Amino acid sequence: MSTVKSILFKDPASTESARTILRVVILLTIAAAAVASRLFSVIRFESIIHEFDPWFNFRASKYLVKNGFFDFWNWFDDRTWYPLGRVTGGTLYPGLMVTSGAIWHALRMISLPVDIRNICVLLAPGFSGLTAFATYLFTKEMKDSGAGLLAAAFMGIAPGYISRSVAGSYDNEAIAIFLLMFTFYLWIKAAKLGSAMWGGLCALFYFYMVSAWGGYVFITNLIPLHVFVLILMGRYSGRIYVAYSSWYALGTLASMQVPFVGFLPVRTSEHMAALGIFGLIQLVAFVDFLRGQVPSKQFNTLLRALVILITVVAFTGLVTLTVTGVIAPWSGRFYSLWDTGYAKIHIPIIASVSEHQPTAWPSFFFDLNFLIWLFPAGVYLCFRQLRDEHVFIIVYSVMASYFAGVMVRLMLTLTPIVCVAAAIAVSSIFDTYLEIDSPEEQEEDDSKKSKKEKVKDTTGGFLSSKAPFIGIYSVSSKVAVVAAFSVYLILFVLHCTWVTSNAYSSPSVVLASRMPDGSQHIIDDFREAYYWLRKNTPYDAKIMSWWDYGYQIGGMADRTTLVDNNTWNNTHIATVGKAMASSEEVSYDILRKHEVDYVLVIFGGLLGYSGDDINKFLWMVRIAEGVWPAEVQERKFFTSRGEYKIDAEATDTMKNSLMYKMSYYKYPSLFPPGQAQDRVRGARLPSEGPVLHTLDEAFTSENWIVRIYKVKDLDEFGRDHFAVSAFEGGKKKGKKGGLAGRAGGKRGRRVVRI
Amino acid sequence: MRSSNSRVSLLATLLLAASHLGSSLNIPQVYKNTNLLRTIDASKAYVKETIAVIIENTSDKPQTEYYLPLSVPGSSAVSYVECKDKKESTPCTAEAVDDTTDYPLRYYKITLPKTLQPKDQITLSITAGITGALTPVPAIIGQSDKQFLSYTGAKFVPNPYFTEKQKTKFRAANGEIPDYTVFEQTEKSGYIVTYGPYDNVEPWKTDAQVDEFTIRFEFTNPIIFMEKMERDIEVSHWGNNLAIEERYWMTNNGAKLKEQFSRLSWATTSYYNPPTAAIKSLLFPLRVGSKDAYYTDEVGNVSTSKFRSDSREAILDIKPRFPIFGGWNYSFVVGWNNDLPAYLRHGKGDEYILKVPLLQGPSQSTSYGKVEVRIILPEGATNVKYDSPIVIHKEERFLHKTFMDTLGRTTIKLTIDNVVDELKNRDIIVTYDYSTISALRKPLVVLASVFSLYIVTAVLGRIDLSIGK
Repeated sequence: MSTVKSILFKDPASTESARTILRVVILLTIAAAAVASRLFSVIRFESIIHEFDPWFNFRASKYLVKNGFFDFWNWFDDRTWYPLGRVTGGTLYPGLMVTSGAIWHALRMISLPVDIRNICVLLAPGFSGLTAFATYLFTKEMKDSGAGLLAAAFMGIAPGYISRSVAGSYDNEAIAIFLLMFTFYLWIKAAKLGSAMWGGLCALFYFYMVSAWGGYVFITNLIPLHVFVLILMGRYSGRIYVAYSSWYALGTLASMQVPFVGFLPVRTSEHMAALGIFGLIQLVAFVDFLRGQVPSKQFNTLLRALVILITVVAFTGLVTLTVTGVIAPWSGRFYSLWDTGYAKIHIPIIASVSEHQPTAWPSFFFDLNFLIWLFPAGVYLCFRQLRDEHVFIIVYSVMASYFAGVMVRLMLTLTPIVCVAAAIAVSSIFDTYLEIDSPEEQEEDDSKKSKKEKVKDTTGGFLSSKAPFIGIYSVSSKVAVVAAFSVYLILFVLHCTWVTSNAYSSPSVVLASRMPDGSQHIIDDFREAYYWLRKNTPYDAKIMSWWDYGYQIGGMADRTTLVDNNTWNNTHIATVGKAMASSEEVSYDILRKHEVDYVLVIFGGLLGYSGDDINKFLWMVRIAEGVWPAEVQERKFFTSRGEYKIDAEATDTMKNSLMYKMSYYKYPSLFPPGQAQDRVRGARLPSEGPVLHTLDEAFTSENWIVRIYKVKDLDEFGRDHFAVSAFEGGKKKGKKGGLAGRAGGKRGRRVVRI
Repeated sequence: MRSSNSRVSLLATLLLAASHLGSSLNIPQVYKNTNLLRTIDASKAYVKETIAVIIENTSDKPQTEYYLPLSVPGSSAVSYVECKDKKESTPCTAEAVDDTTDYPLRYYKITLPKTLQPKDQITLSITAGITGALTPVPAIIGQSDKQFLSYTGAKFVPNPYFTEKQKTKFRAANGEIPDYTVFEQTEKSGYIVTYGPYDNVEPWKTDAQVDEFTIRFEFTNPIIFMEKMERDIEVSHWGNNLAIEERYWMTNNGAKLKEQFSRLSWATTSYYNPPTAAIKSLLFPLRVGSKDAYYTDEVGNVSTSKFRSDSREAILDIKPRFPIFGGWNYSFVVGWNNDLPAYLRHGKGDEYILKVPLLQGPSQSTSYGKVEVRIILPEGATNVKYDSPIVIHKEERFLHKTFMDTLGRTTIKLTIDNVVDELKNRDIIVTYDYSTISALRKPLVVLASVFSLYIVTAVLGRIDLSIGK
C-alpha cells in the first residue's frame, strides 16, 4: 500500500514543477471552457451585438477607432437626445471602448486587421477567461490552489456571470467583473503583505475599474468596510494601514481623472465611507503610535477624549456639508437599494427597467445551481480560520447577498463570491474525503478511544485558532461523499450549459422560431426596419421612439433619436411619453416642435412578441404623469373596472392615444371581419381600426413588429389635418362624424412655432 | 493634386480647341448605307441598340474607317459598343470620338475588319448598350399598380451617310403598349413596333428638325441599378483558394411609390405573387464549384438566402430585408470561395496565369454606375499583366495590407464606369511572377516572430529585479 502510494504520490516538493504545469494546463482548459460556453449565440446566429446598451458601446467603439482617442474624449454627440445632444465623451465610462480600441490597435500592429465588431463581440468571452484566472488567484490566497482551480472552474461557467458576458453582450460588465476580482485579489495581497507596491497595483486596477463600470462603488465601499471590520475586531496593523492608505490615496486621485467621475469621490455620499475610513485609519495609526509613547492610564483618558471629539466633529462636518449641498445626497438608484419600493413611487424611470426589479427566489438557484447551498458552508469555513482575508470574504458575502436580493442585476456581484465560497467548501470536502490514507493506524482496533483523545486535544487551546482534527475512517463513506459531489459537479456543468444555451444566448435583436419541418426560421424584423430607416430616410431624419430603442436606432439605423437608453433627462423622456400617450392633436404639436420626421413603435400583436410598446405603455404614461400630472393621467387608461384593455372596452383616452393608434392602425384589416386578434394580450379587436390624421404609415416590418410612421408636413392650405382627412373623405368640415377619432377640444389647428 | 488638375484642364482645353477646328466632325462622304436595320431592345432595364447595316464604299479610294453616331440625350449614356462583320463574324474595333459638339450625338469610329475597296460592300453589326434612356411614366405609381416606361428616339436613324433604305424596330418588354407615336409606315405587332422602311434618307444634319417617336410600354420588372459595385478577387496560393466578395449599392430606378409603403396590401397580395416593380429577390448564378457563399449587409447577416451548389450549377438566391420599391436603396455584400486550381495555371518558371470572370452579378437585368474590381494577388507577386475583355477606364496598382502581411499583397484595381450586365461572365486573364521565396515569406515571418517571442520571454524571465536579497 505504502509503496504504491509512494510511487503514485511522490514528495510534494519533487513534483512541484509537474504540478505547476498541470495547474497551467487546467487553467487554460478552464479559460477555453469559459470562452466556448459563451459562443452559443455566435454559432447559432451570427457575430452580432446583443440587446440595447451594447449597441451604444459598439457605436462608441467604432467612433473611437475611427476618430482617435482625443476626439472620443471630446465627443459631443448631436445625433442623440435631439435637440439637446449629449456630451458623450464626458458622460460614459470609457474603459470598455478603450480596451477594445487598444486590442484593435495591438492586433493591427501585428498585422491582424480584425474587424472592430468581432473584437467587440468576443471581448466578453475573452475577459471571462481572465476572470476565471483572477478568481483562481483570489481563492488561492484564501485557501490553496486546489480551491483556486475549483473556483476558477465555477466562475468560468456559472450562469450568474454568463448572463452578462456571452459573446455579443458588449457591456461594461464584460470587463468589469474581471477587474473587480483582480482588484480584490490585489487588495488581499496588499493587506496580507502590507506592501505599498501591491496597494499601488490595487489602485491602478481600481482606476481601470472606475473607468469601466459604475459598479466600482461596490469596491469603493467594500474595501473600507473590510478595514473597518478589521479595526473593530482589534486587528489593526501596520500592514492594513499601508495597504489602505496607498490604495485610497492613489486610487481616489486616479479615479478622479475619469471625466464622468470627476469630483464625485469627494462630493457624494456613496464615496464618504472610503474617505471616513481613510481618516479613521490615520487616527488609529496615530493612537497606536501614542500608545507606545504615553503611559497606559493617561492613554485611556486621552483616547476617550479624542474619540468623542473626533466623532462629533466628523459627524457635524458631514451633516453640514450634506445640508449645504457640498456633498451630494444619495442618488435615486442608491435609495432604491435600501428601499425597494422607493423607485416605484418617486422615479418610475428606474423602476421601469426590468433589471432593477428585486430578485425572485428561483433565480438564485437558476443562476448558481448547487453553489448557492454550498455558499453558506464556504462562509462558515472562513469563520473557522478567520484570518484577515477571510473577514473580507465574510463582509463581501453579506453585502453582495443583500444587494443581489434587491436588484436582479446585482446578482452579478454576488456570483464571484459564491463561486469562491463554494469552491472553498467543495475543496475542503475533497481534501477530507479524498485522502487515500485513513487517519490513524489504530483506528480499526480502538476508534472510540482515539476519538476521545482527539476531543481532549482540541479542547486544549483557543477553539478557532486550532483546526480540529478531521479524518474519515471508512472507505465507503469516502466513496459515497466523493461520488455524490462528483454527481453534483456534473449536474452543475449540465445545468450551466443548459441555462446558457436556453436563457442567455439570445441576441434579442434577432428572434428564432421553428418552421413546421423543424428547421430554424429567423425573425429579423428589427434589423429589417432599422435598415430601411438607414437606407431610405434622409441622414438627418429625427426618429422618435420609446427610449428602449434609442441605442439600437443609433447603432443600426444611424439616425438621430430623441431619447435613448442613457436616461439622463427625465423630462425629455416624459415628453416622448406624453406624445405617445396623448391624443393626436396634442401629440402633433409635440412632434412638430421637436422636428420629428418618423415615429417608431414596436408592436407584437401579430406574432405574440410580448416585449412590445403596448405592454410598456403604462410606464410611458406614468413617466409622463410624473412631469405633467394635469395632462396625462394613468387612471384614464384603465376601464371603470380597473382593467388595462385594448379591445372594444378600452377607454376613449386609450383609443385616442397615439400609441394605440399607431399600434393597431390597419391591423384589423389583416384578418377576416370581426376576427382581428391581438396575440400578446389575447384580445379580440374591434373590426374598425383606428384612423390616423397627422401621421402616414411609412414602413411596417414583415411580422409587423416594427412600425414606422412619417409625420405629415403642415398642410399646404393651412388647414388642420383633421379637416384635410374629413375633406378628402368627402364630408364637409364640421359635420358630425367627419372628425372620426378626434378627442374633442379645440377645432382649429393650433399654431405651431418651431 | 493641383498640378495634375491643371494638366487635365489644359488637356481638355486643347481637345476642345481641336474639336472646334471641326477636324473630327468633318466626316468624309465616302459611303452610302444600302440597307440599315436598327433594333431597339427595351426588354431589359437598359436599352440594347443593334444596328445592322450594309455599307458601300462610294469613293475611289479604299476605306478603313466608318463613323457611327449614337443618340444619348439627357442623362442617358453609352455603356459599350461592339462591332463585327455580320457574315464572317470577325470583330472590329469601335472607338469613341472625343467630341460632344453635335449633341445629343456621340460619334464612334469603327475600324473595319478589312479594308473596303471602292464599290465593295460589307455588312456590319454594331451593338450598343445605352443606360438611362428609359424613364417611368407616370413617375409615381401606387404600390400594386403597373409600371410603364417611356422611350424617345429619332424617327430616322442618325447617320452621317446617305441611306437608301432603313427600318427601326422597337422591342418592348411585353405586348402592353398603350402609347406610341404613329408616323407613315408604322406597325405594331405583338410586342414590336416597327417604323419604316423609309427610302433615301438624307445624312443627319445638326440644325435640322428631327422627328421623334415616343413609346410607352409596360415593364413589370424592377429597374435594378447598382450605383456602385466593388468586387474583390483574392488569390491565395497557400489556402489554394480564390475568394470573391462583391459589395453592392443598389437602387431601384423604377417608378416611385405614390403613397407610403403599406405592409397590409403587400402582405395580402403576396399570396398570389403578382408581378411587381419592386425588387423582391436576386439570383446569382455562380461558377460551378463555388462554395461557402454568404450574404450580409451593414447590420449583419441576412438569413433570407438560399445557396445550392452541386456538380452542375451553383446558385445563390438572396432576398433583401425589405422589398425595394422605386427610389428605395439597399446595400449588401455577397461572397463565396472557389478552388484555385480551376482558375490558376502555372506557366514557365515563376509565371502564373489567372483566368477569372471580371464581372458576375445577378441574373436579373442590371446596370452599374461604377464598378471597381480589385484583383488581390499573393504577397510578393511581381510583373503583373492583364488582358481585359472590357474597356477599363482607370487602373491603379498598390499593395493591399491585410492578415499576416509584412509587405502587403500586390493588387490591381480596375475601375469601369457605366456597365450593363451584358458584359458579365467574361474572363480577364492576369499573369504574374511569384517565386518560391515569396511563397515562403509568410511562414518564415510567423516562425521568426514566435521564436523571438520565446527568446524575449526567456530573457525577461531571467532578469532579477528584486532589491536586496
